[in-house]
Parts: sequence; C-alpha cells; structure tokens
Amino acid sequence: MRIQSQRRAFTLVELLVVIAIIGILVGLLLPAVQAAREAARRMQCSNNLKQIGLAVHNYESAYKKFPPGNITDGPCCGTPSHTAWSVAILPFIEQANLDATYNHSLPLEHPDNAFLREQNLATYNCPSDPVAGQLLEPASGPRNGQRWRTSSYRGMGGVAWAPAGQYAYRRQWDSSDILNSECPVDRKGIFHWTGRINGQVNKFSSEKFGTISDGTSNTLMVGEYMTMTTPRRTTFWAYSYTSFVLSCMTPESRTLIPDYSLCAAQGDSNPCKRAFGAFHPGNLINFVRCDGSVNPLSPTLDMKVYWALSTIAGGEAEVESF
Amino acid sequence: MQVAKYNLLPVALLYLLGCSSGAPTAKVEGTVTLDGKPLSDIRVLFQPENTDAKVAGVGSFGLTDSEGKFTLKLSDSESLGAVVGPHTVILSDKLAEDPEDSDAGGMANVPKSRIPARYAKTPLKFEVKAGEVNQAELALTR
Repeated sequence: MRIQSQRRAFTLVELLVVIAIIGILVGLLLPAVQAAREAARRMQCSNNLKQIGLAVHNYESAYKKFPPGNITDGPCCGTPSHTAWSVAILPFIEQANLDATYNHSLPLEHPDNAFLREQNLATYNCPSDPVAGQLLEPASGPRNGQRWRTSSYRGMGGVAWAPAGQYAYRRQWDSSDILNSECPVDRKGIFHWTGRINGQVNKFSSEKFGTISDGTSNTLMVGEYMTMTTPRRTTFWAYSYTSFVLSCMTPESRTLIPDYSLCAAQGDSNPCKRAFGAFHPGNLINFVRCDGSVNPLSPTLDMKVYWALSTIAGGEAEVESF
Repeated sequence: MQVAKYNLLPVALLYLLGCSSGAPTAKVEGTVTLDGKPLSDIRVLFQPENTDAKVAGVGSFGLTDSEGKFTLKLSDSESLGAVVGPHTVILSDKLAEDPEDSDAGGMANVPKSRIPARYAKTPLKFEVKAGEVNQAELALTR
C-alpha cells in the first residue's frame, strides 16, 4: 500500500509569481519589439528617399537639368497643375507605363489624367505615415471635389521671404508669388516653381548641377512630410498646386513637426502648409540631399544650419552633416 | 503579503522605462507693450540660437492676452517653458495674419501689423536661464 504523498500542484502564490515574471518579461520585450518595427519602417522610408535621389540624378543625366519643382500657370490661387518633380521622375522609378497615361498637354485636374493622380506608388509612401496611400480631397486649390492620392515626400522649394518683416506676407517658392516682389534669388531651393504667367516662361528655370554652388552635399532635395491632424494638408504626390508636393523653409521649429494643426495654432498657417515632419522617434525627418545621401534632421537643429541646407546658392558657410 | 510585492514589480519597471531625457527647459512668462501700452493678440515666438552645439533645441510660442501677458509653451509638445539658452524673439500680429484658405502670403486684405517693422529686421534677444521663472518684459517703442 502506497503512502499518500503530498499532492503535486501549484499553489495560488506560485501561480501568481509565475504570471508576474512573465508579465515583467513581456513588459521588457514589447517596447523593444515596437522599436525594432519602427526602425524597420524608418529604414524603408529612407530607402524610398534613396530611390528618389537616384531617379532625380538619372533624370539629370537624361535631360542635363533637374526636374522642375512644380509648374502651375498664372497668378496664385486656383491655378491648374502641370508637372512636378514627383511626376517628372516617373520614368526613372520604373513607372514609364504610368507616365505614358499622362496627357502632358492637359492639367492634372483634367478627367483624362485621373488615373495618374489617383495612382498609389509605394516608393512615395513612408510606412511610418498612416495617412499615405489614401484617396483624399486636398484642402485647397483647383481640385474641385476630386480625390487625389496622398504620399509622404516633398521637394525643397527654398527659404520663404517676408518683405520688411511682414510675416503675414511671406513669399513662397512654390507659386508665382515669388515674381510679385523682389524675392532674393539667394533663397532659391532646388525644386522651386517654374511656371508661366501670361504664357511667358519666368526668370526661374530648372536648376542644374552647376547652379548648386553651395555644394550638392550641403543642399536638401526631398524630405518627409506627414500629418494626422488636418490630413487634407498632407502630401499629395501628383498635386503640383503650391504646397502639396513642395515645402519651403521658415526659420521656426513649429514647421518641423508632423502636426499641421499644432503648427497652425502657433502662428500664420502658410509656413505650416510648407512644413517638413515625420513620425519617427525624436520626430527625426529623413532628407535626401542633392548628392543622393540620405540623412535625418531633428526639429531641434539650429535654424541657421537648416537655412543654409535649404538654399542651393546662398553662399552660407559649409555645413557638416550630423 | 507576498503576492502584492510581486505584482508591484512590473509597475515599478514600467515607471522606469517611461523616463525620458530632453534639453533642459525653464518656465518663461512676460508682457508685450508698445510705448507703454499692453498689446493683445501678439504671437510671441522664441527660437533658440546656436551657441556651440549644432542642436539648438526646439522653439516656444505664446499669445498675449488683453493685458499683454503671455506664457510660453514648447512648439512640439505644448508643455510649458522654453529651452535654456539664448533665443531670438519673433513677434507677429495675429490680427494681421492671412486667413487659412489663402495659399500665398499677402493675397488677402488684412490690417497692417502693429509690430514696428524694425523689430523684424533686428529681432529682440532673450536669454532663458535655468531654474527660475523667467520674466520677459518686451517693451517695444515706435
């Protein structure tokens, strides 16, 4: 006859201890897993920028000049959209078939070009941007109820200029606004407006390697912009009207955060429409420079450094990457 | 009791993980006056200046009330204060801003800014000091 031994089982306390230990381990692991996922997304975002940089360089090799920032004809507001840097480089990001559907003689608002403007291009979407790749109606301009495809990357137009310090009258490099005043040419960015007024080609034409006198590695080309608040102010890759595929530099930190409404709550909304910003840890923003290198910038960077990086020929002192 | 002690451990760990470090900040409040009279609805923007480091820090913003008083918040988080160190002070008139639906500056008929233009050409400077509530008395003259 067997002697009845103590029953083998877990007591309540032992069970709770095990659960607590598992809880601690999961608690330690989860932030690391989430951080690794975000790191992978950020790598994808900067890889897209690398592709864009290469495509722009291949465009330059083919045409001996950079693509135009954007082309909209006539004085501001509601002017029809023609090509933009992001549309012009389509054949160089293996989208030649999509480019073939584009009727260049008609503005992008025309029904014939609906297929192009609604196309979702993975290369233009940063996976950290939850708003990218959607069909939304842009917040302003000649879109007239149409829905366009959102994306994440904007070209650098240049440094906005406020005549006599009138901050509400900042001239922006993404429209014919820059012709209305003696906007200093040394504030020009790589992708500024090159449209027409009264059928005349204006004095600002597409840039070449030779006109980037600050050095290609010291000049920003394309960067990220995304916002969850006011998503209709996010980036739209084919909507070349003013501030949807181009941004301009304003020396204020609020224009480097991925939150349109928070930026607009702090002042004039026009610089917020031309902002850069991304949902990466520390709000770091990936930029591809004119030499094809991809580097992040922090919203905490000094505005003089950001200014110097934004212009192609400002003659500012050399700026190292950091 | 044994159980309670073990259950508190993960909570304590989470608190430790939640800690983050950023640039040191200090509270800033003040008034904006023009020829001795308080100015309401003035946007006050403090933009940190580079001293030695390339990282200057994020800017701060405030809006004056009817008595010309403002309190600064950080641009990216809306928490109170400004980064410690020298700042450029940018003042702009909220009543002279373009409406949100105008896409380019100067298209709409807005009133003239109440800030004299020379303050834009040579902006005011302010040094934010650590460990105190900084008082920024911005006395403008015409």
